[in-house]
Amino acid sequence: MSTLGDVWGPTKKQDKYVFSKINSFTTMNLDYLRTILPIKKLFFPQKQELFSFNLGEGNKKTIKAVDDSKHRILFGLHPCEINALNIQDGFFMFGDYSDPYYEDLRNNTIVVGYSCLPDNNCFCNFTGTSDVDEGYDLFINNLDDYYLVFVNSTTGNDIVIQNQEMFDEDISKIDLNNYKKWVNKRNSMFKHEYGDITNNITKLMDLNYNDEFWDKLGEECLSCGTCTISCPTCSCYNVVDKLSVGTIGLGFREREWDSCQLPQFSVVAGNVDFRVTRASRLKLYYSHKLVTYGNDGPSCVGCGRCIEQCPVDINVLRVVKNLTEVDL
Amino acid sequence: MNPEKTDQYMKDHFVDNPYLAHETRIKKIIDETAHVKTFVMENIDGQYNPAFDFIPGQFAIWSLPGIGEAPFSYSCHGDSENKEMQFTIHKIGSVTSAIFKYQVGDIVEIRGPYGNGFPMDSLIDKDLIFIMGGIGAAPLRGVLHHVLEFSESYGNICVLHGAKTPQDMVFKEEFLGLAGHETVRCLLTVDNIPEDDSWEHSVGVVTDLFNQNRYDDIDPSKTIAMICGPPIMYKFVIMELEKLNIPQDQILMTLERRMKCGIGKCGHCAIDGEYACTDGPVFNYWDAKSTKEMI
Repeated sequence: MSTLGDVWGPTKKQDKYVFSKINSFTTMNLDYLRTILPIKKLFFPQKQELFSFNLGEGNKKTIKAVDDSKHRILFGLHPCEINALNIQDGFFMFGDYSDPYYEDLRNNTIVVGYSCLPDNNCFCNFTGTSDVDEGYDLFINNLDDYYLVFVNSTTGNDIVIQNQEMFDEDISKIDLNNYKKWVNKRNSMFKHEYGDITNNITKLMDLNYNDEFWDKLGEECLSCGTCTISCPTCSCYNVVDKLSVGTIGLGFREREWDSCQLPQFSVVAGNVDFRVTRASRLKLYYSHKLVTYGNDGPSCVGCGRCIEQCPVDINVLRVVKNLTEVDL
Repeated sequence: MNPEKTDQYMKDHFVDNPYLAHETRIKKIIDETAHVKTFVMENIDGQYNPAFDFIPGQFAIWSLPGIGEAPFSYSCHGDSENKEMQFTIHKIGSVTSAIFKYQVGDIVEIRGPYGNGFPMDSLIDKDLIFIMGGIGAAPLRGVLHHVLEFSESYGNICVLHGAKTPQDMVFKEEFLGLAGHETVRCLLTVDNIPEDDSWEHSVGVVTDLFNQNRYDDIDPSKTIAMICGPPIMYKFVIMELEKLNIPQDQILMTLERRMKCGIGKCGHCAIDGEYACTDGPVFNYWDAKSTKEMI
């Protein structure tokens, strides 16, 4: 696989996992469930140069080209991660405007998915993202004694053909039953039962919009932005111009991850702030996660990072609990 | 650094790249007030700049390498033959301060047009009320110019315009001229008059003008109201318009939000599930009511 390009996959970092470039397959650790940062970092980097400019040379601009001489292979992405990638694709590539930087990186990437069994923080059963049907080239389902591999693109098919000795095309009744058993086992392991995200959540969000639980969450929130950084479908960015220290007139325009939870996020010229309170910023975040994002439905994929990482335990499930539970 | 690509690749990426602005030349600079100037931009011969093809209510982003970018509404109505665009800019931050240093003839990079703009076709045959406060007159001025140019296609026109002081009123001469206009009822107000200034029109906030105007010849069902001003102004103006029984989807407003991209990606202008830059900046009151924290 490494003959196709750079392989990226989950590796262990102290007691956590991160996606990193794999130089030796022994460093890849497929026992992982979730990485600290989601895979978006490889398509929408934390910091990314849009172009550089030379004010001296009539504002001449240069755009760094993506090195597409070799592919990137992302190995071992779980369904929530691929679902999140599909949402990001829709957001960056399929609106009225396509983002060329994202598109270049996305088109040059091969995605190999890998099945998983949920832990206590997973809730992709609620968001309908425990399985994925598009956005990958190959998907490997671990059935303990062997793997069931789903092929979803010609690129994926080419990989199978080139490695035929590893694959068996005949799927027996036993294989099918093993897969069914695996699906049932996975489904029975989820700890959180909130039904379906599409079930009246828009109306509940609307009706609860001025409920005092938001103010309570606002009081607890630290405005640190961890939820947005760790969320696989958050994509807000700021744009800044940076000038060279050494040479007058040289500089570059860069975008960097921003967070709707930070106080300055909605401030316009003249210091008018459209979102003064932390509660109002939390409402924006959760309406994008639960109701609509980029004009296209809820964006939460149930990965559990907000549960794991928020220092004051504000997360999607807690908000959903507040939205849905009958308060007597 | 990654390898340099072929000329064709670079050309494709430059032409298609929505983050790159196109050059345009400053034709004229008009001082409006002590802190507001109107920049008249012209196309540079032989260059393609899509920012010149716009309708009122849309906006464009000025791109100043090394300083940054900022969005501004067009303050004139689009005229693809003239290849001219105007922006009326209030000096208030780092980008606008840099813009104020420009001279006639300077080259500026601008990208656009962005946003939906006003639904110009749906204004035809309607009675129109313009309500503007401060620099909020800029995006509505293009609509007004268009309507005045083809006034036979429109019903009765009311213009209510407020500013802090007479000195702060943008397009003051233009509006003073309108105040004597035959078919347009134009009422002007200022919050206060400094001692060394004189003012023959109203004193008070823009909503006070509603009491001074007569609306007996306005048919609410065929009236469209357009609002632009400071954020605080909207809900008070809307209360007055509702008193006149103007339907909620015929109250149009153009909104200001923080924007970094203009193309619905950076997320700063998100209002509930909408984006001011691509879904707006012109919204009607019915939609605004169902969108949390819009006004």
